[in-house]
Amino acid sequence: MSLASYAVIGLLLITATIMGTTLLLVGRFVRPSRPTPAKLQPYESGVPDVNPPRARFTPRFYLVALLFVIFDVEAIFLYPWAVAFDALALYGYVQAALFVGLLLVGLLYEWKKGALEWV
Amino acid sequence: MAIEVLIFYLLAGVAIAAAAGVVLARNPVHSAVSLVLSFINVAAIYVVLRAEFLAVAQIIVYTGAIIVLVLFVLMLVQQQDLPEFHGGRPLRRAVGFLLGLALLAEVAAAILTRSLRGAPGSWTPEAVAAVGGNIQAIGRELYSAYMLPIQATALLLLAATIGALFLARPELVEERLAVARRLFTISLAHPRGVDTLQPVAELPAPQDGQLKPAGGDRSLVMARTAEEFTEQPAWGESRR
Amino acid sequence: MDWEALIVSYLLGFVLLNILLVLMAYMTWFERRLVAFFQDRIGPNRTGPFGLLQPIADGVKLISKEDIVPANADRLIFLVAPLLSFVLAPLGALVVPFGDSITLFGRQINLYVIDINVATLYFLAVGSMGVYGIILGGYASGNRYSLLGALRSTAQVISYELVLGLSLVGIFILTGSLSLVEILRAQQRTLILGGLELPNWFILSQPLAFVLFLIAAVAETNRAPFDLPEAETELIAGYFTEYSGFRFSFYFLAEYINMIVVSLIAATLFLGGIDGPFIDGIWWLVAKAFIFLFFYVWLRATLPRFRYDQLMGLAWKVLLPLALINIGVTGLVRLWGIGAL
Repeated sequence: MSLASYAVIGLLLITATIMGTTLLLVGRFVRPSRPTPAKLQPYESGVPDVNPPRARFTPRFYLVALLFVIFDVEAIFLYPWAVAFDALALYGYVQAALFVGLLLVGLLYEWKKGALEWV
Repeated sequence: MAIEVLIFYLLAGVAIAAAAGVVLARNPVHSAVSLVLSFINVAAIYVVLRAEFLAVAQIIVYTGAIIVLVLFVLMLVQQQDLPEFHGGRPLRRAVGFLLGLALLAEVAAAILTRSLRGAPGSWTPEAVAAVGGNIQAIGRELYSAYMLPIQATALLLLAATIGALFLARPELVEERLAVARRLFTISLAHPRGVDTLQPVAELPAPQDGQLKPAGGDRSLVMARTAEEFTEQPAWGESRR
Repeated sequence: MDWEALIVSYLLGFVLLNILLVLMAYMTWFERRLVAFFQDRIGPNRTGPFGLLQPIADGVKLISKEDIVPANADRLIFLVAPLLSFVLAPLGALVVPFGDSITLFGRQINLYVIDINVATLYFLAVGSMGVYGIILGGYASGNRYSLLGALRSTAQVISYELVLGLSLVGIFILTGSLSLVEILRAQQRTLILGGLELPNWFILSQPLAFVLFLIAAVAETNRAPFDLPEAETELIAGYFTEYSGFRFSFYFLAEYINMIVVSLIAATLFLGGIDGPFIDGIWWLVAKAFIFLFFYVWLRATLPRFRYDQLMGLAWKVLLPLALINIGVTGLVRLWGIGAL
């Protein structure tokens, strides 16, 4: 492990940002800019917009995000177990099985309750 | 060594500035974006401290999942519904300020009174390198010495799974699924011309189990209640 | 800090970045020609021989198009979001090993940009950051279709991200490492199966994980048949409806670069990367990545789009349990293999 590897990631991140911004700046000299009120309207396939733009959406999206957070944390806990698998052997396997098993109960509960149905 | 200290101060500075942005931004989405920036800088500080796994975990869990959840909430709720970020009742502001001050004092006391450098553990840099690296060492430690906390975490996550369902879709938990399904079937079936454009104000206040108007002063709403529709069963559905 | 190593890998990374950009441009040409072939058309063939100058013409066109910012857009976020997508897309490729070290000008140079201990997780982390370009772009547009497209796309990407991460746990169990260089080394050994000498590629020992990874990767890159955010029949163009000119093309660039990066990672994780018959080398990696890219186009030309409820159901009810089963079975086999059972 060397800090240099991560420094390279940071430097390339900056480089890519500069490249992208440069492309946009070059375009600034070439492209036209003729905004009209109609052009700046949100595109609604020609139908005038009546409802407020940020309308409500179904809470299913919210549930998916919540479940994702929970299972993402589970996955994060599984990675160290996986790479130390040989050293932990059966003891570690039983623990991880218990850990995943408990979360599987949660998933089954959601499933039975119909939370995974999108209708 | 000196360069690492320099990098640390740079990262810490950006992290603090971004954290200030979280509090100062008027638009909650801008606050969330500032928080992402702050989290990324904290992850970079972890890298400088050689805690690689913690750094990627920070990015995957905090910026990749939790802030996405926050953004979802902000977008699911109309912006008008959000509480005022600035102002509010003076009493609440005073209490908030005092609580913040108390937390600051607590952290300061913890830093000033204790030595931050604890007793060295068995995981010396050499021992970590011998097992292959940071994440391998964490795996060995986590699944042997921290057996109980791991399982407690699993229980906590299980509780969160059930709580999530209750928070997001209480109708499923309260066994109102049947009602929801009936409503949905009817709204799709359209037995007669049922959808009319009419001012929301003229509608009766929405009752339990009835579709609410979607928003705006004129909305496409169902003119009749679901119960009226069930007089004529849609799609051969038998009445209860 | 080792300054020399830093400069060398920075230069390698810079070269890789530019190669990816050129490859991406020709990926669009390749896709259009190939889809045309599938559909019994000719495709772009007027600009240069075989239409080879088409990507350049497209670039010139897009850069000279007006950059419209809608009146009720969240201006700052609207301007930055596509850049975010574009900047993050190529970063995943930095951890792909392109070969062993070579000696050039009397100095040993590693043919990978960086080798970090958490390389695979780093790839996943960069992928998880990628959703910000989508969700912020959709939000900032101030258009209902954009926002709905962004929400859909984000829900899709995060669901499949889970499968993507969990499908790899089996490989981590077998190699005991997250580093792509280590995973590659593990695959360069030979696997003896019933007297047959096979390469130890993880597609053979982790076939289920390979299928899961492939499906999740296609969904993660928002490509057909999982291209719901762009479902033009219902959402116009999803989260980039309001984008125009070069800012629009940043989303486009990001999508194609993501495809290339995922192909490279998949080739390294499951198909042995640079390992191959005769002489190991970067050509094997390129050939294998090319198979995946062909597969992407093939899918697009063949399969209709999923319905949204099917898409989410597939992730949560089929792929996620399968990924967990794969981990359990791999663990059991490994326990038996190391004599701990």
